[in-house]
Amino acid sequence: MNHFTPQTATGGDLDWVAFCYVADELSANDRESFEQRLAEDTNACEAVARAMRVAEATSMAFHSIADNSASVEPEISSRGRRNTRATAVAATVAVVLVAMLSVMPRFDTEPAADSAEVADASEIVGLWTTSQDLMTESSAESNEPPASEGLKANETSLAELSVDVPDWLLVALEAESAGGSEILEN
Amino acid sequence: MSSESDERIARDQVAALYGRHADDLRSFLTGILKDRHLAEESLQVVFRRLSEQGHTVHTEFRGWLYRVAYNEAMQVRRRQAREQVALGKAVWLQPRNESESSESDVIRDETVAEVRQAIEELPEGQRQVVRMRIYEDVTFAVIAERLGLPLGTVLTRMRLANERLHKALKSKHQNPD
Repeated sequence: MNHFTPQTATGGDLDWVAFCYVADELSANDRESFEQRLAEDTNACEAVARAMRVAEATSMAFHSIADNSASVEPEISSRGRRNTRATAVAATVAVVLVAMLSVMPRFDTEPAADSAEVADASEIVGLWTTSQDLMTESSAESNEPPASEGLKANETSLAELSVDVPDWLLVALEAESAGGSEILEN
Repeated sequence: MSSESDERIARDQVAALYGRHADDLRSFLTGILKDRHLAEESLQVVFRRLSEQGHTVHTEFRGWLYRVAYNEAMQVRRRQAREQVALGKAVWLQPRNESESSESDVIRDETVAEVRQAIEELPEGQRQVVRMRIYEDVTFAVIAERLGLPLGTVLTRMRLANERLHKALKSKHQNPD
């Protein structure tokens, strides 16, 4: 539903129009209409100034996030390699263990009579313990929060769905997009 | 009988108005001109006009300054249109001018830290759209295409995120005349 235009927007709507203006996302008509408003409306001028400040600070914040990510990336890579190696070793041990259990005589039906079988059993217990240790280590590391950025991974909230985007903006952007495609095709 | 220089606005007052409004006017001019250097030149013109004509101003200075800034920006844009200057990447991604350091580095760092905090608290879907639109300078239409989302969803996410980012900056810029 269309509740406002670049000429009539106030409050949060005005901030949104101002952002679309500085981001060059308004159609030519809407841009012209908003600029006419800027000539006489100080609040609209201030909204443009605010939009620029927010965009600049946001851009700088993303730069700082990217810089931090770059500095911890090698650490994450080496940890990832360690995790992969530990998982591979644990999987191999588990396969060997299953293979040995399948060929080994059952204790309850045929008790181990010679020392070789007892040694085999101790070896299996040892292997099992080792594989458990490796799995625990691997699991503990994978549960750590990512070191690059402590960003929350919440999905888009329902509140998003309740915000109206004016029809004129959708139409303008879709028209610009279609125009762009035509230019590319020609 | 007073001379012309006696009638002019006092230098102290010009300096005070510069301190109070220059950052906002610079952002405003940058938003219109999409070029930091042109915005800085226009800002100097605005304050030159203030020192020449400030004594004739009988309304609030804030409104007067914005009107002069707007008219100057439009004149610059008309000149630029004749020269057909190609707009490159988004203006907020252009390197800053040396003269833009009127806001101290400490305050700027604090501001960026607050915005960063707000970005980190955004839902993933909103943060992704903000990153693509502002940091990667991708248009809304292309974002919608790349993410396989309706354009309306992309706009809604950006708008909601924009509101939160504005709130993060609000306390930093209370600007009385």
